[in-house]
Amino acid sequence: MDQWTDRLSEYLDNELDAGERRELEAHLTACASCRTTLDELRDVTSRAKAMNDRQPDMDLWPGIEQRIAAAGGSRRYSFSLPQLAAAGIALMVLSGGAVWMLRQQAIQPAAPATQATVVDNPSVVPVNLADASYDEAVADLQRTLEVGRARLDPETIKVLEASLASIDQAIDQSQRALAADPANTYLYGHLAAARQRKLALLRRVSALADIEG
Amino acid sequence: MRMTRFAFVVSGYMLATVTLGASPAAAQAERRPSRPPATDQTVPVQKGQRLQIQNFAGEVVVKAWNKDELRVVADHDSRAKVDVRTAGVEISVSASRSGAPGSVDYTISVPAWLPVRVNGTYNFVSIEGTQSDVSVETTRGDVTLKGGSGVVSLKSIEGEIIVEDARGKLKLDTVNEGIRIRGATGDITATTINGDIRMLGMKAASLEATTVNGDIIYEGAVADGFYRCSTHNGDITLALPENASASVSVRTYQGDMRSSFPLAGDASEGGRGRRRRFTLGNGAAQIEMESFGGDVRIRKIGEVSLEPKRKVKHDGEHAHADASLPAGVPDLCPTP
Repeated sequence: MDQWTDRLSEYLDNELDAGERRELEAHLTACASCRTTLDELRDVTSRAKAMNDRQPDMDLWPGIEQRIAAAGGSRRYSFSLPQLAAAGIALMVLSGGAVWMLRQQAIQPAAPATQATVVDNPSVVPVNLADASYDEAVADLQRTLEVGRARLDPETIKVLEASLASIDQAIDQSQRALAADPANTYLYGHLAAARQRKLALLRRVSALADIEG
Repeated sequence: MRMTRFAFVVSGYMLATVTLGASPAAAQAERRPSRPPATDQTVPVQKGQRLQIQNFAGEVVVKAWNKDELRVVADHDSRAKVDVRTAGVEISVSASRSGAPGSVDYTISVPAWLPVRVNGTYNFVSIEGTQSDVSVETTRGDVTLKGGSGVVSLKSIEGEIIVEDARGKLKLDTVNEGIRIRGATGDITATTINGDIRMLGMKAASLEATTVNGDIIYEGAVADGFYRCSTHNGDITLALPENASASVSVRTYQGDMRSSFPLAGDASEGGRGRRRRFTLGNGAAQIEMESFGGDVRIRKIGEVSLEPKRKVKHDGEHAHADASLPAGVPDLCPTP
């Protein structure tokens, strides 16, 4: 990180004055790291714009507002780059594309949500990896699978359970990595993809149980 | 080979029938003596028609021939009856049987232009020489396709998917086995969970290869399309021609990256999971490679042998493939 890294979001938002803007653009031509970070920020922004509107399960703002009030100052607060990236991707995870497909199904009481608690660094906003809709969808599909279980070959069930265990392991490892590295944008995407894989497999198995019934 | 596969199908079916309380038809099939095919039927077909094969268990072999006719040869017990029916544009082949469903082995000759669809539960499917759409879906059993063109969709749960010289839009999907593709062209989607995805001699126009617990290997040319390889627990090896043109993005969390290409415009960041971008040639193809727990290797074609060396262990651990360079050949871009 250099002096410009934290100002990339201002640059994207056109909040730099003309002089700063020129200076940053000159810096970008020489700094591959900042170029990459800027690309990632643009990526986050464009993906966030493409999302459907939905209220987040956890609103970050009240906590932030409370801290501002507690600090007692009127100076302007801006998010650091890791905070911005973490919050943006967390919203993406929470509103993952896979989940919307399952909202059409009957919603049952939610299974306990998982949460990665990140408290080691007080400057980093705790990232909530819980997604009630996802948990509901998984629980719902697992119930469907239980009902259709008797229709499937035990060997097939064994294989499917091994596959689900592999995905669960990937999800668990991603979550633990995120707990240790909450600003890592790759991990958020990787976690979201693993969750989508699990939903896709559960849907496929449920359909298979229907067919073989 | 046929008997080995058949025995595998039969053992699975026996297990299923015992579990479901059905009669062990497979045991009867196992006892049946060698004899002439129980069914041998030929019907004329014309362009615009398509073939639908429905088979509960057995082996389905489809081969292209030079006639506008469909020949169905089937082995089955005396309680089964194979029906070949034409309804509109669809020619359907299926078996009916008194009692529990049984095993039927088909050898079917088709004109190369005939689209083929195979559905079933315990099926090993082999299709060779067709030049039209192919769709196969089975729960247990390998699917092998040689040739094939247009829209190709091959799905299994407990079976390997093997494709050679197919072209078009390929969608290959299994769960607990690997996918092997050789000499394919077109838009390719390959997905598994516990298994490697191995692609050799390729000319893909675009690629989406995803596994959770396995390696991904792509060896071949790239065009100006989008190529994405992603695994959680496995290595990714990309072998490209020396004059390849691609914009490459690599992310690994616990692994590293090595390249035998000089990497122009390398935008590297320290730290796990950080993206590295660089350009080969003019950067025409867009390539993304991501592995949580494995390494990413970018090699020149012919530099290393990419033939299979070991099997993936399905216990959460993974034996990594060795795409190391021979002694004396330097890696030009190790992880910073």
